[in-house]
Amino acid sequence: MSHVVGNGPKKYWTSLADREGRLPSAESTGEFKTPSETPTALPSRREFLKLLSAGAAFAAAGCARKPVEKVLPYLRAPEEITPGNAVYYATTCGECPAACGAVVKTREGRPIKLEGNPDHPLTGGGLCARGQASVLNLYDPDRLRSPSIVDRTTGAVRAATWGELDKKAVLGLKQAAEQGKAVILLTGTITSPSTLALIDGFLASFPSAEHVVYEPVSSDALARAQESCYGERIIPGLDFGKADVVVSLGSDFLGTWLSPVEFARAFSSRRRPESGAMARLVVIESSMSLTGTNADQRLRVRPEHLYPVAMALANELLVREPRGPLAADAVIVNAVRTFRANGVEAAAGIPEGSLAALANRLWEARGRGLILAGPQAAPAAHAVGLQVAVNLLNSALGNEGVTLDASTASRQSAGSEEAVTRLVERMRAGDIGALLVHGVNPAYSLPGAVGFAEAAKRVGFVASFADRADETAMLSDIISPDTHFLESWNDHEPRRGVWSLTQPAIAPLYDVRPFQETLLAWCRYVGTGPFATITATWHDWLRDRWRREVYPAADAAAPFELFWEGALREGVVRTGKPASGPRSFRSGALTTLPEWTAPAEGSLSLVLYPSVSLYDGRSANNAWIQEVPDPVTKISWDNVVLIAPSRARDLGLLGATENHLSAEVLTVDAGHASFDLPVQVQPGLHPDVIAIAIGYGRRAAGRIGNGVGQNAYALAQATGGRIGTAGIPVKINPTGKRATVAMSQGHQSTEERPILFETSFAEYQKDPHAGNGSHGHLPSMWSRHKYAGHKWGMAIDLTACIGCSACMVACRSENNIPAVGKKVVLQGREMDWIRIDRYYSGDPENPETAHQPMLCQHCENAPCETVCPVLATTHSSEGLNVQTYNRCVGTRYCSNNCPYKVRRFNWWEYSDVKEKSLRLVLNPDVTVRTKGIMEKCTFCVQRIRDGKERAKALGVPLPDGDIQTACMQTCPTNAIVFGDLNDPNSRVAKLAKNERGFTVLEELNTLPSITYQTKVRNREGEGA
Amino acid sequence: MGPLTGNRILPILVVAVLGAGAWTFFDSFSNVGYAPEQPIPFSHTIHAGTNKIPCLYCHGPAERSRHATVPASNVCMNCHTVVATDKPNIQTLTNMVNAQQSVPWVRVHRLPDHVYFPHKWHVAKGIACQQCHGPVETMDVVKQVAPLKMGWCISCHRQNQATQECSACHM
Repeated sequence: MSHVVGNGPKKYWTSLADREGRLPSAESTGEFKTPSETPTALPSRREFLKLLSAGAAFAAAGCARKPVEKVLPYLRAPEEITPGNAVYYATTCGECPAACGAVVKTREGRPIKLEGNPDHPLTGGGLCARGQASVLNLYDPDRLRSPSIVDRTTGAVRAATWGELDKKAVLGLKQAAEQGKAVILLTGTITSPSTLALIDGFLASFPSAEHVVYEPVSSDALARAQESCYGERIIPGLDFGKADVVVSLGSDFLGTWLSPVEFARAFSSRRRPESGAMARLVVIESSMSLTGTNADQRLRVRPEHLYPVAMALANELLVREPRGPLAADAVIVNAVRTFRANGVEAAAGIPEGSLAALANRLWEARGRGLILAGPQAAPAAHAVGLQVAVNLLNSALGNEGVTLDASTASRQSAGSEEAVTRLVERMRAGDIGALLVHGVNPAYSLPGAVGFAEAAKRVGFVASFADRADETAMLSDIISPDTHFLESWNDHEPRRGVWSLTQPAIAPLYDVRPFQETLLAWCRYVGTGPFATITATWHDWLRDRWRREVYPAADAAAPFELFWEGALREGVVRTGKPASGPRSFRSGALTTLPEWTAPAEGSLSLVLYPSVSLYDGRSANNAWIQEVPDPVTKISWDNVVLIAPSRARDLGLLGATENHLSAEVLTVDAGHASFDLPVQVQPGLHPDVIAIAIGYGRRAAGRIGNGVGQNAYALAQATGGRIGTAGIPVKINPTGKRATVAMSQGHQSTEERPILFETSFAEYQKDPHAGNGSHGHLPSMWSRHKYAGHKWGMAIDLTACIGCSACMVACRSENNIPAVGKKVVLQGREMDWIRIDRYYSGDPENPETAHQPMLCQHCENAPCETVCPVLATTHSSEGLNVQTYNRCVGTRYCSNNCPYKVRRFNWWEYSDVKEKSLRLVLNPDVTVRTKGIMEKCTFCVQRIRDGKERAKALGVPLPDGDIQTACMQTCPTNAIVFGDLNDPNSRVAKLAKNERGFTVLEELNTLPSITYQTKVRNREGEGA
Repeated sequence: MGPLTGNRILPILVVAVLGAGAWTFFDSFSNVGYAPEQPIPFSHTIHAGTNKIPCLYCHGPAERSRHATVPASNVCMNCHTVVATDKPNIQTLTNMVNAQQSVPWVRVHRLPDHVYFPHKWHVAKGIACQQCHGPVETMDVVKQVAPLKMGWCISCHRQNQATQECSACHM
């Protein structure tokens, strides 16, 4: 493949239609349709009189203020709260088991925003899109508001009292024990050591009880392979910060796997061209993942071929050109001998010699490399085999013990596929007396073939701890709603030696009880076992455990009380870790692997993947999450069937997906299950693969999430104790129907104007200006503004940006941006102030991808300012392009004149939030905009104000980096830097002058305040 | 545009009448003179006037927050557990506090939601509370004396060379 580098702009496109100049016209998109609601008829005489009297009433109403407002002060003012000032508490994000460090911002006792905890050793200040959105779940009006009892025959849910619920629970648990049947606690991954200890005590209350852990996005194969290769069932700690070469075999570690914020942060720390060295990312995958879009080199293979590709790499290193001590191990040599690189390359359809080159590259970087494979990327039969092969590679290359560290093992994914499928079998056989389900939704997420719903009917007593009447809770006898993580105490140890706390930031909004509190209560009522007489609350238990376990290990000098307060304040504590070192690879692991058989030539293979936004579907009822477009497909509010361009062409489906608003609907048939879903072409997908996102198709998530897309878990396979989500044989058939698909990119075209610039690391090293289309100063009719004090600016590094979209949700949360829903997104009227534009370039079958955050550029010569007839958008003395909402009359001239399309118009009254609980999440520092006015990025003007006020109160000059916009704050890769361009020592001022810096559409001479840094790719074969 | 037939005059008339109504209506938003009756007839004359209690004793957050706030009931009870406990109004207050009820004061001064007005910087500049709130220490019933409209804000900012940036108040 040849690349145009450094000379002349590269052609970028957002979709195949864009690439081939066949974008639909603006008229056909429906954006400029006359709304049918517009009243056209003139008022009748009667209505005229009515209107007249309304006017008179208006005139007469002047005597008293309407409505009369009441001020209800505190009865006893809490010491730490000053109305109007925010209070921040350190906590831990509870959205997924990654357990990222977080800080929650509260106003008058209401949590309104989550941010990453900058002091957290793993995740720094970063937080992902889902973490940012999790604060909305707290106020979800579809949460259960009280303990509930379910009629299992009719599925009717009714409110109950805790007394009633506990009585039913204890009866059910006692009955199970008396019948000699097992009590099973089925949970998702629990990263809380204190909760795990409490669960142990709970289980000991019963003669036969067991804790089964099940995680729909599973890392089971990885843990099992670790066990067979190194003797310990763990997930090793991964250190991307030490890796010069990262090879991912279908592992979406930047988007969805295990701990994306931590990984993205560490990975990007090695991707700074200015440092003189740059890590290389090689991705070998079947579908197009977020990680794949960031690859320097990307190879497409069918999921069935991932295993032989890994084995062929081992063959290159250990057999064809024996290197390292493991090459002398006859068992290993024997196992990998048959996987010759050239044969595998030919079968998998990857360029000849690419595996040998990759093996050589890995060998050069031995001890500084990291090879990863997605635990669910290969078909179930070879999922463990793929992981074993990867372990072999890491051991052979001396990466084990360096970039993979068993001593800092991760707790972030603990499920066992075998345990959960065996559990369902035991349920079906009637062996289970009581089933308690917490944190997972097996009725939704287990493959249909496992038959959870049917098996649950054979269980005497089923309890759910879900916060809503979800799919599994509907099959239960009782629902004991758990609290939101911001309402309760908890602790987390995501990686060995890293401890963090969660403290309640608000009292439970409804009559709900923490899961742990419920377990303790039931232990007391059951009256047997170690907790029969326990009087401690969950908080007492947690604190006591920290006194006994964490405090001594943390080696703190202060007494425990001070240590505890410090831990709450900082949110995170480190304890000493045991000495680490490489573990020796047990070659016996290779002997038990099943024989590999090639897939039928050209057969279609289904891959199910968790999307960056919806993940496993746990927060499908969160409108912020549904509205974030998938970073790769740019589709919101739906999952679709993704198909490669060449396959679509062969099947005559290319035209069917041209219009980004509507697509042909296909029937996807995996034999054991089938459903209809619209099709979309996805560049970069393997031609023999179709991919569908899981997490959609919820039936009992709530009013937002129900019926959005199809439940792709239904197509997953369950064979031999493994759940297969890749390499599922599948058929697709056209239905002749069409459906709408809300894609937020594809309707805008850059008209081939260069919007972003890129280069290769080799070129960059020769000339740091490489690829940068910047031309320096252009003549202007305008005289330059003078900025006497601050001049706010931003720098965005396109090399660091991975497209994760965390900034989009952070911005939404900070700035009260409404989610508008599918219908309105289809009209191109989404409200995001910052979006991530995704551009492809090169071969449509395997393109290179660039992500570009796009937000108001705060131009010095702002085209919007000159056309506003009412001075609603003006230039501030600090270089902000400010929007004064109460002046705006909604002409939309500014938006028409904006070359970046970053202004958003309120077509509807989004400020009128009907659900009262949802008003509580609004940031009181940001005006809620009404219908008919324009809005856009303000550079978080309220945060600028707060920063200036802080400095003013302290009487010190504003420190650089003190003001962080919401997008900058949450960015896991630190791609966004905000600051004062007038301060020559500020980071942003230096970046603005950096050789890689360019402004977008410079030729328009708008003089943006945002400087982008060219994207640098570290391609193979181009030096470095 | 065609001739002004009856059908065309009609909407113009509606707009004119509505406009006149709205003008009177919105002008009344200034609320100067608004002095609602309060659930407990709290007298600023007694507290701030006769007894010379500093404004910030009760409205402390005015110094450190955007809001001056109506004081929490426990601030009242700082004194009224011993002072004037025989007065019926104080007994009403005490009963409410004992019953864990907040006093439903009626709001007098109100700025629209799209305005950011920080009390603390105005207090820090040494602007007397009375400059905007009038002689509160002489008011038995608190009354709004200033229009609290943008023109009124700006005129003071202009006189004092304070910021006139849109984004100083609108964000």
